[in-house]
Amino acid sequence: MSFCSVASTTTVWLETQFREKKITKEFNKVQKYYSNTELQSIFSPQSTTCEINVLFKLNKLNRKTVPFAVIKAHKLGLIDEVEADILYSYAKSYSKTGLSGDTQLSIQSSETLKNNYRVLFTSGCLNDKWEEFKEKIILQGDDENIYQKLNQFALESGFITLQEYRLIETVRTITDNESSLLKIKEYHSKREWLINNSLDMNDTVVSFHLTERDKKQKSRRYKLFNNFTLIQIKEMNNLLNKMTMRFNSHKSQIIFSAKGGFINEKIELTHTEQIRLALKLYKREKNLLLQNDYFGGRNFDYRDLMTLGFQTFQIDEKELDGLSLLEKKTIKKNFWQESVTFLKQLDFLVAAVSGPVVGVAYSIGISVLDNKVNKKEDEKPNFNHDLFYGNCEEKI
Amino acid sequence: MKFLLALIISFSSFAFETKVIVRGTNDKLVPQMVKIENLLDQKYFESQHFKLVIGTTNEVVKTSDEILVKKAATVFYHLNVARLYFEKLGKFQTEQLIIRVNIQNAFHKRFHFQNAKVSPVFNNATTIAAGAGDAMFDIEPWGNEIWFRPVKRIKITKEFRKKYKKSLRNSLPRRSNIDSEVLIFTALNAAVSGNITGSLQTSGETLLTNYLIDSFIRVAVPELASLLLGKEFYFDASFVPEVMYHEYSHYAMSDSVAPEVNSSILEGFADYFATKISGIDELAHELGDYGKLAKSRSAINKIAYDLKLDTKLGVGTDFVLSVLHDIEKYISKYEDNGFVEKRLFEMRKGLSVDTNIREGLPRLFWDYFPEYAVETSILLNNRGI
Repeated sequence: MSFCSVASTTTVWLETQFREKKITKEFNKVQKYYSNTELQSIFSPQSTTCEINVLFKLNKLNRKTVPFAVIKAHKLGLIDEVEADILYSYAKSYSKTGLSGDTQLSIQSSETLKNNYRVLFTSGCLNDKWEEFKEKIILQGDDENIYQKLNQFALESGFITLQEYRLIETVRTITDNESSLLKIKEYHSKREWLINNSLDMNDTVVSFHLTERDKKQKSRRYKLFNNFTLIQIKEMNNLLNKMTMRFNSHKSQIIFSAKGGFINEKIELTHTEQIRLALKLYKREKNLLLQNDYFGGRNFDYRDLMTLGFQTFQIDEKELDGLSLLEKKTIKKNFWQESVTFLKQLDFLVAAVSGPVVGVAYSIGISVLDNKVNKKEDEKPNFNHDLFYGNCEEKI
Repeated sequence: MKFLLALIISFSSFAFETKVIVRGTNDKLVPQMVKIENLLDQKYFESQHFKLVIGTTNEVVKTSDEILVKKAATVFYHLNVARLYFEKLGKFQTEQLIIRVNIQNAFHKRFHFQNAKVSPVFNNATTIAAGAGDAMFDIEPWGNEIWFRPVKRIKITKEFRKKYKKSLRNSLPRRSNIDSEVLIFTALNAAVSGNITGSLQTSGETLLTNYLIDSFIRVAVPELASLLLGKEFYFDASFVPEVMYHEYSHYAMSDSVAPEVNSSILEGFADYFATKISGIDELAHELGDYGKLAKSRSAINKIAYDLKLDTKLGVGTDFVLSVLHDIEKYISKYEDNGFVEKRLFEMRKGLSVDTNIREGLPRLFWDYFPEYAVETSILLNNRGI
């Protein structure tokens, strides 16, 4: 896809979820059936606007391999991070489609049903027509799996093929489980609007994008396009610009002046004070912005802003890395660290059960172990000297 | 003829092999056979760059001096290592630097040396700034010099031991304490439980056990540490490579900022270059036979800034050292090897004896790393500056 500038050698987050051996094996399977040129056609911008079409075109592959075709397309730079997120959701859902044992339904007119299924598969995009189909076929009962049963009934009655069953089941599962999943069409139109409003798109994947993504979660970029409206994105961008302008200012001063403009005192801020003042102002302006009706109670965090800044070329990779340092990271404890923390809490129990000598020995032993495995938290800065006291300890 | 003689002198150099002390496996101080090169005369520790003299005299240390040879060779060898490092950063030493070993005298700005009998100094090294001398008292002008004090074993007094134990005890976190809040909480807990007597007994036992364990640790740990403290303190600076690197760094920076004060910034910069030369993030650690109870310094610490660090007593040295390492680590992700070292060395031109951490350091990074101005400010901000 033309937007994406990811080099083929770049590691993409999705592939880091699997072992290298697995990825290589699955990529080879994809390669066996589809050349890179064929993948280019399957993942072309025209084709991906209807997500289910991509899965349809990948029908030579075993269903379990389809998600890897999406990862490969992303790695090859054929689709960007957000498109990969969307298509991966479809591919995962597709790979899990199965048959339920129960198809007990009371269908009044199977001929009408057959026709409606044919309409569903004849023209247009299946994704868009599923809701329309459901409105036509109103089924009685409160069985939440009723449409799955209907699809299976259609399969068993020969109204649809097995491949069609799997495609429609994918759409149904996505609609039921990921109702707010962004559509590639919507994503493209948001991008276009932003580009027309002088915000160019930077689709490069850098370490920030890889590390800021939690396992089995969608990318920061995806969240940006999915969670925020265009006006919200535009306002967030303005806020970021103001903050970085202040960060980059060569000089900043506080001026105390008398009535009539006579300057009583001028205090020059150090560059670190300037950073803290800019952050203070950012927080104030952000809170004011969130009070606007067009934000409708939706919040954004500092990392959303960083994602946006990089996406729109306001900040480069180096700046992104630097600005991210402002946010205090919570270090997750590993199994051993958690275990030692837990064992530490048991010292009184050991002392009560085994006596004070064993208790003391246990206590000292655990303290030694704790020092070994648990990293001590960084000392908290003392900001008493600072004009913007304690600012850095606050969550941004 | 004079020119020819000078030419002969400048091209004639001697070398010999001897053992010096270096950092070996696991950073331990170990002897190693090395070649002492570029001597002007086989008999003396004197080269175009360094002249090692004894105490306040002009007597050059002889290579045959059985007592001083190991010390002098170690100093000479490591100072050359440091000199070559700074050549890579573009700083070429053009003068002969006087190195004084076994000098007990304190430095005097006007008279060069203070009376060693009045206030002798041991167990350290220092770089002194050049002085104009004083014709009235027949004091010749002198250039920058590096002084290595003799080692002296100083007994640890009872008072020191007492203070040490007290400070250690105070530094131990109090894990449990029986105070009014805890007692009220225990009573309330018991009151709402079904078995008030049983609950109070269990809580009381737990509290008491916790309190006893805590008290025992607070007594036992300082006592044990005091036992391990040993009986004496000493530091033989002339056998610790990073001390030579640190002092030479002061000299290398002296074209911009005279080594006149022990400000945290200047000491931190000298420590930074010493760690770069040694390739080890710690200084004056693992001293073996060459020191005991000397305070080591580490680039890997996360001390937060405090106004108290901004003094001319060098108490913030560790802080500055670790900050410089933090910044180097960050910038090195984007720049080639040596970029940060070169820039930081260039930064000496913006330093003065009055530069402080709080205002000076952010300004210096803004001026000398303009392409990383915001990022370095953020890093400094994160350390509390």
